[in-house]
Amino acid sequence: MEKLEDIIGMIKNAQRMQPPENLTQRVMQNLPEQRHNPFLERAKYIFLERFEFSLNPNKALNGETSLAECMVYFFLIGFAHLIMAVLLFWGFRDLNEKYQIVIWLRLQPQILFFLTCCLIIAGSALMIGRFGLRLSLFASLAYITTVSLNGFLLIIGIDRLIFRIPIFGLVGTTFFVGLFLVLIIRKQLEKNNCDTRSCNA
Amino acid sequence: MDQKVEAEIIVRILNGDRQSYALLVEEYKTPIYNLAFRMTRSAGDADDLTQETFIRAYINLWRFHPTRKFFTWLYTLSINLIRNHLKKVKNNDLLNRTKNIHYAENENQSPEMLIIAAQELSKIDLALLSLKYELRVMLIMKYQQELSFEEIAEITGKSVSAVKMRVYRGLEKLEKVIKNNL
Repeated sequence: MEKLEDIIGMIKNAQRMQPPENLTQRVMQNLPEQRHNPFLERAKYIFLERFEFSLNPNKALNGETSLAECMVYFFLIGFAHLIMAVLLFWGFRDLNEKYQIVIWLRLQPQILFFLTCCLIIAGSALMIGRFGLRLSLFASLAYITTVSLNGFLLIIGIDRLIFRIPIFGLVGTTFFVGLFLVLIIRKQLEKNNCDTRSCNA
Repeated sequence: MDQKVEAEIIVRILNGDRQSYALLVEEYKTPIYNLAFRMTRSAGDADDLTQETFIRAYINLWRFHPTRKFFTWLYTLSINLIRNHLKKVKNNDLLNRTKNIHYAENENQSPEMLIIAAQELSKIDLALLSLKYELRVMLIMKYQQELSFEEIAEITGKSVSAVKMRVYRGLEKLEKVIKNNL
């Protein structure tokens, strides 16, 4: 970088221009008379101020995001579980009557509904402060435990390897999703501890 | 200007206090004008682009996120406008402007301003013109406007390391151009 110091110096030393004196006046004259719906704009300003989220999982894992963003993760995952639950419920309707299938497999829609509830409650709890954070952490741990146990019971209940592989994939995915939720909540808790103790770490 | 003060001014503007916007224009008109001038090499275009930037910022003020710094948001608007403007102006035109400085097109400029603008021409200005837009704007922001790498990253939407790399690459290219051609 040292050999480039001359170049840097040349750029830095270039004379700065002064804008015309009446520039501000001209800008103010050319501003549009009425902006559309100032109430709506103000509302959006307040909304954005409170509910900032960009959906960046890396930042979430480093605790650099707002609680609102964490809440969105919980709701998105909850919504995905709800869709799966509805699809399985619909798919198993006829299957249950016609075939003898593993009892634990039959319970999957109900288990998914339970997980959806866990995730929605955990997400909503984030808005009620420190207690909510702890509740969310507990719900996330409950989620991980349920998916792991459920996956284990499903895998041992099914004999054929070909069916075990997709189940293993699904269980693995949900396990990592749960782990992600636990980690982001832990980071938020650490941040919260820091704020209450006014530390800078 | 303090970020808190800026946020208060923005709230006032959004509540209908139009005149408060003059405070923001006054605060940032010089860096925005300089950036536009360095990029376009025309005082007239710089004037128009600065005005356009502030008018756009006013219209879109409700979109501005209060957790961001106002000036980085303003710079983002400005560099987008400059980029669009430069797409319309061919590179040759820019070079001619730099060599001939026909500021006659700009009737608003005083003779003193024209002389100062003429004195601005230097090796470095011509060399900068040979760089691609992205490298040029980053070099100007970093060394002429003295923004930090973090601020440039926020303005351009790139990572800090990507900005550092581009600035370094830009400096190297600039050195080559100055050595070989000028």
